[in-house]
Amino acid sequence: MSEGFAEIWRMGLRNRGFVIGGVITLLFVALAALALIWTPYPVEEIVVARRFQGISSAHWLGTDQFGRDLVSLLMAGAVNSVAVAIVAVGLGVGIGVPLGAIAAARQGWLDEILMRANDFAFAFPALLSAVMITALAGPGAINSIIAIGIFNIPVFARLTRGAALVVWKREFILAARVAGKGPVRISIEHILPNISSVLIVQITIQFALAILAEAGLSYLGLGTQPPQPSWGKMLNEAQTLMFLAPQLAVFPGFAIALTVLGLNLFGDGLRDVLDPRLRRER
Amino acid sequence: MPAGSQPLLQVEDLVREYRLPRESLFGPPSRFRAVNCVSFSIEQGKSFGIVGESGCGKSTLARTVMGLEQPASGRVLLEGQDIFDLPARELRSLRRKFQMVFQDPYGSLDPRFKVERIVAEPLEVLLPNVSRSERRERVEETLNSVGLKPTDADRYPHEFSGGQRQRVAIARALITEPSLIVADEPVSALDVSVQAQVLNLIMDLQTRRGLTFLFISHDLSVVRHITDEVAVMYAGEILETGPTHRVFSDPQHSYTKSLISAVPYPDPRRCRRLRRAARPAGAR
Amino acid sequence: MTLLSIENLCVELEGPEGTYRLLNEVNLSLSKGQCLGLVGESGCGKSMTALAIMGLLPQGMRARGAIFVDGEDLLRAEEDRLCHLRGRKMAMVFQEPMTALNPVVPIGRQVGEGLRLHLGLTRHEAETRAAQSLARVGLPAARFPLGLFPHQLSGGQRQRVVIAMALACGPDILVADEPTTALDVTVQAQILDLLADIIDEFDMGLVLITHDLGVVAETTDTMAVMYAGRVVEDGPTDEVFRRMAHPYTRGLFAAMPSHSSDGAATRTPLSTIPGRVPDALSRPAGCPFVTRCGFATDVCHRSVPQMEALGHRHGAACFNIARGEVDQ
Repeated sequence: MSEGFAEIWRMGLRNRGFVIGGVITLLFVALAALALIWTPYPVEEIVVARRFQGISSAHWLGTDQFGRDLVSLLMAGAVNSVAVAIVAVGLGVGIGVPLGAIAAARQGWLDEILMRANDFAFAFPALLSAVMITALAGPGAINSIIAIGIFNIPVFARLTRGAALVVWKREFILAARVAGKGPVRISIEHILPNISSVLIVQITIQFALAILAEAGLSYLGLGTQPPQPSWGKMLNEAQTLMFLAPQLAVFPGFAIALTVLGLNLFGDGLRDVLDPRLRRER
Repeated sequence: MPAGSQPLLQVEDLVREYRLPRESLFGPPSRFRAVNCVSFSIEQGKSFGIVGESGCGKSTLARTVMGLEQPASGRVLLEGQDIFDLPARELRSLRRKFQMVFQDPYGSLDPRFKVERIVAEPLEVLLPNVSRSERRERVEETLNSVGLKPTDADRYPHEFSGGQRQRVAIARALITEPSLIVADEPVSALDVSVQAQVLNLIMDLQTRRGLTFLFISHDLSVVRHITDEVAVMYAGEILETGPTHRVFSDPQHSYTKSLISAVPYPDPRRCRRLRRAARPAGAR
Repeated sequence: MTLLSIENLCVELEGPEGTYRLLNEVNLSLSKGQCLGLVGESGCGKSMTALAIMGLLPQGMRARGAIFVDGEDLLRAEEDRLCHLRGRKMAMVFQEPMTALNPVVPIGRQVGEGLRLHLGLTRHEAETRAAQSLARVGLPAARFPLGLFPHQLSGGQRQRVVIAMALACGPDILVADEPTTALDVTVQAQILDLLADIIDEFDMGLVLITHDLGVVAETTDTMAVMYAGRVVEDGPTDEVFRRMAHPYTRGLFAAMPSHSSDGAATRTPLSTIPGRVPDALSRPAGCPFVTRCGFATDVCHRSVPQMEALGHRHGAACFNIARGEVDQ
């Protein structure tokens, strides 16, 4: 987008949801990035002697049943969540959006086939199917990413097609055709920018859902495998220790909830900020 | 035929059909003829009006003439060249010669583009070799010729009023220096005083640049004011055509007569009398 | 007999960047059996006036002045009372018949709804009355059963249903906001005829809002020209058209494309009003029309002209008529 980035930024600072959601999201991504190079303690270091410690200056959120530092685990879990969500949503956007755009631009039989295939994919509850796929293909991070990604494709295909069809009916599309533009060029230059705000909001929602789904799969033991830390797995392990050490469940749960909340706030704010019609001075 | 006497636009027996939903599961889909065997031609430099009520097929006709919809049969000849006979690529490059202005000044400009990019859009595709600075120059020149400021190029459509937006749309149609402009209800969405400004601009451009206009409108007084020839359309067909002043002063077809007499007349004394006398007993 | 009288009506809206003056000292009156035309371009306040008459001003708007209907000031009435009056005393016809009708309710029920609500009729009585009402607007039950849905009707027929709804409870005042703008000319003529017949027959008053001077000329008895939230000229329609005292009225008339029957006017430039209507925040301090007026003098920039009597019930708010500069 060539329009002033500074202006978007200025508008963004006025939007409460955008700022709060943005800060939470940024913090979450920054922690994940930091975890790639540094965590307070090595996450694979098991020291039975210091297990079940409470909050202290040495271990800010305490330690788990193996004596691992909870802050380090959460940070490493964030890496896992971000990676899974990026790849899974990327897969959905990368395949779903072009499919939806093609369906809207071409109409006719191609549209029918694509959308019926979509309906087929939609007919299965996404998480159950992800469970099925990982169960068939074997548990693991890669398989869970693919399983989550596959169920993002129809979401984006359908959304793109629906939003694109509305834009295709507008007069400025006729004007673009009169200007000699073909369907591909119109889709890229006019359709996609005009539906970008819808897509961006959906991306943040799917990002949040992917994080939840990954946590769910890991919780069931089908996602990320030990010793790779993951928020879902932490919840799973904490379950049996609920009364002994409730913080082991509370902190990963809180991390998941906060991240999802932050992403949703950020997405809503971003939609308002990106729309030039709302930027009008009035 | 010598080139000088050839009409700029010839429309011959044009038919545009739409498929309606099937009435029974296995029956053939029924068809609706939005434009039915329409023929007319426009001489270079003239303005030709098409009037009719909503649903008469005038907008479909405009879009078919622009090659935006495929006719079931018939030909549209621009400078003797059938536009539906051309491969898609050549039709696209021919678009330099015929451009369009739309009805809705709010819907016909992409809200995400700045005016410069909107106006330059046909240039970008049809004459891609124009350099960036030359493009900017031509945009400013064109904006100037439609009564806008060169600095307006850096603004977004939502910053303009309806009348100004329609000027932007006209500038976009003018930038490739076309010979024909198809205008589909270009002033219907505007207030009276603004409408007069835009109509003056259209008439001015026509005399100054020798443009040919195909002007579609439901407003008889507008068509009467700015066109040389007019065709009256009803249910997809042209009922009557001829020089504008003749069609309006001496309408032949009964539909044309009823259309003209239905236009409210801004003179209270004369018209109310006419009306009370001519008022029909019941409703249609 | 005066049915409706609006006195010094001002409507303001507190916005983030200041006070929007939507209506400013509007004075209007309407008698039985008469049609009052309100003309002006978009944003001049004519629809706001209609909403004020209906007691339907949007939340957060402050209204001053008075709107008397049958001696009762609507601006001082409680919402309950307004609900009671709406439909019975004053009713409204909207521009878009499709959006004014509920697409999933049959027309007979939509027309009867007001009767059951306001007059407490039973379903059966309401249906009988609705059928009568629809027959009166040209939709006899024999050809247009009460069970029809709005989408089964044409635009003009839908507008007839809306008029039947408005008429159902026998109001004294009918407010029609651009009732024919969305319709074709031939249908427009029929609807205007219907409205004119109805006010004659039921001895009602009609407030007809339109941007089309032709419609005003043909349908109304008195008219008011509005500009930027003010009435700039009003009086009997014949008088206003004969004299066109205010420069804006004259400009509006001159901007219309050829209405002369000879072909001489064709392709001549139309006269225009330069610039555009100032928005409600940036209206000039003096006369609202000063920025676009060819006759403006110093005094026009300084103070707001008051309505000045020019003849029997005819008046215009302009300094230069009094001094004879506008009139030829």
